[in-house]
Amino acid sequence: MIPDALSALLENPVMMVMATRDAALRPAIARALGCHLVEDGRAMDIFVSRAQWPDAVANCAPGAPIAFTFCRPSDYRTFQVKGAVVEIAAAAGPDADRAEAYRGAMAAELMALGVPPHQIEHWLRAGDVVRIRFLTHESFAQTPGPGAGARMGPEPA
Amino acid sequence: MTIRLRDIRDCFEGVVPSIIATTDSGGTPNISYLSQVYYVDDGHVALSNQFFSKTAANVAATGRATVMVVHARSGAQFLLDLAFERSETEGALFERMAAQLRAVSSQHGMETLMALRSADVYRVLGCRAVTSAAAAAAPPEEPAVPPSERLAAAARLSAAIGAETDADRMLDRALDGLAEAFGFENLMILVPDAAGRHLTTLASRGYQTAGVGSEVDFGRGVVGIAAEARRPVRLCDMSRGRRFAAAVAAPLAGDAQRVIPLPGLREPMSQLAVPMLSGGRLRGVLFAESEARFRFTPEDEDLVALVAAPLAAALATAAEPEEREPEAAPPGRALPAGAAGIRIRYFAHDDSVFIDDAYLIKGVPGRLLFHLLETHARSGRRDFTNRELRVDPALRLPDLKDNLETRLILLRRRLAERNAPIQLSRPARGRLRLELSGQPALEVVPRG
Repeated sequence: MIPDALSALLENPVMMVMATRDAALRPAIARALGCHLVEDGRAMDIFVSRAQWPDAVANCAPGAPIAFTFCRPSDYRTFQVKGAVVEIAAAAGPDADRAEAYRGAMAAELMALGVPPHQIEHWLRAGDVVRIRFLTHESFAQTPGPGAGARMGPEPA
Repeated sequence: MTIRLRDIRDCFEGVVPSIIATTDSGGTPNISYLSQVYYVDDGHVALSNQFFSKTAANVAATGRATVMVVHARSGAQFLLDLAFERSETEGALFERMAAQLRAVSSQHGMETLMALRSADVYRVLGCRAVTSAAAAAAPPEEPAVPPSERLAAAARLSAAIGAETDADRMLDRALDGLAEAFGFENLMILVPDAAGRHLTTLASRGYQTAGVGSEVDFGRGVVGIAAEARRPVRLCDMSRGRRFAAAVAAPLAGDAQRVIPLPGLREPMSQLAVPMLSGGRLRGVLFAESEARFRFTPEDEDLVALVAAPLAAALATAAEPEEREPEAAPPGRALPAGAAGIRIRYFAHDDSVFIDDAYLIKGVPGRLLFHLLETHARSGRRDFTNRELRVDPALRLPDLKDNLETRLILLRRRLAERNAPIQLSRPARGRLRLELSGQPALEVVPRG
């Protein structure tokens, strides 16, 4: 489950990164181009350019563990979600639109913060965008400071 | 292809956040932002261990990490495969990282949150560029002057400073030389007080007012942190940080009229502060700033350090008791006939001096000036030697012997900057003379 605080933050343009690992447990990094909560937040779709991040995407077989961290650049509020990959497919139709909309909104947000466009190009590259769906098992607050790493809800019943 | 770290040093300036991915022993990945990855050498980087505890635990378990660093100017991204080597909790690398972290976090008002626990050193197994359509865009600009020529210029300037016989002239030579040889437009030299609480501006270049006598607290701002840590501190992109002005010592209530404004850019983007050390002691801080981003490179840090060294040595030498006899001085001019009086008020509680109701200076330079004026009022003397000031018990200077010379430079420059009716001249080596354009009338305000 994704706690409300996280889903609210995901309404904003936030920077997104994910990590997977290969059979030798070597971690691989990718930037994501937006996300979308599904099944009431029990699962999440994230969009990633396979052309730019071949290693991280190659590790995304069903069942593979995945970590996803997002950060609001204006105040560094950061959360991490961990889970297991359910499926991976080309981002088509509404998924492709979501990734495109994210790229536009994120670029505008970064430019408003004074980041030059030629830098943003490196970070928000599209190209062979895939949708990675994963079950959200755990979430953690990661905002820099003493509270970093704290596990978040769901509240105990 | 593996990329040499030295060719992507802009990635290690802490401008764009880095990213670190690890796994636990069971293979669950973790991914976290990281304020800065530090360049150690071509084969090593260091990470600051502050509070990313899951990362630390994973590295302890597996010894491995993947890090992404971002080129500060172009935005290009690079992936580093890392193997953990060791944690350092003291030493040059740790101190440098701790000072840098304090400087960066003080910009964000997070001083207390960001204490460095250890500097974790990793071997770089591989470094490769992340492919990008923008790969050809905006390559980093190379400096117009090749490094070897800049090194030679720094060495020449350093030698020229060392060849000066007088600390006062060395200061000017250093600032003029840095401006001419490297185009640094905004410069200051600050010196610490005996207690190590404040730094006082002794000389500056490139500001509307020289600000001689203005103060910065130890530990605050780039200058104060470099002084406290005795390490260079360099910031490349302050666009998201707070203004340096916040680092000016906050005046005590009711003391505002006794504060000299620190010169400084309103919106600096780059700052560099290099401590001046000699004989194991901090003698001052050489500070440069600019409104341009990325104005100062790691190489600039080294060049400024080359210039700071002879300056520190000069200030240290100036602090030693004069062994030679003072030179004979030519006679001074008599007071012009009919000159107006000069009203001097001296406040005993902080040694502050006001001339014709305008604040001049406080602390040791204030005490020195009032002592000279009092002696003049009593005996008519206008000529003094540095040596007699050093040993005069009336000045209560036992703790200050070591920086009498810098206090005299400060006082002389402050009087000149204010165009005060009292000036201090140096008619000969080791001598001081009061130049008065009126008869001083002294008033002492005793401690409240």
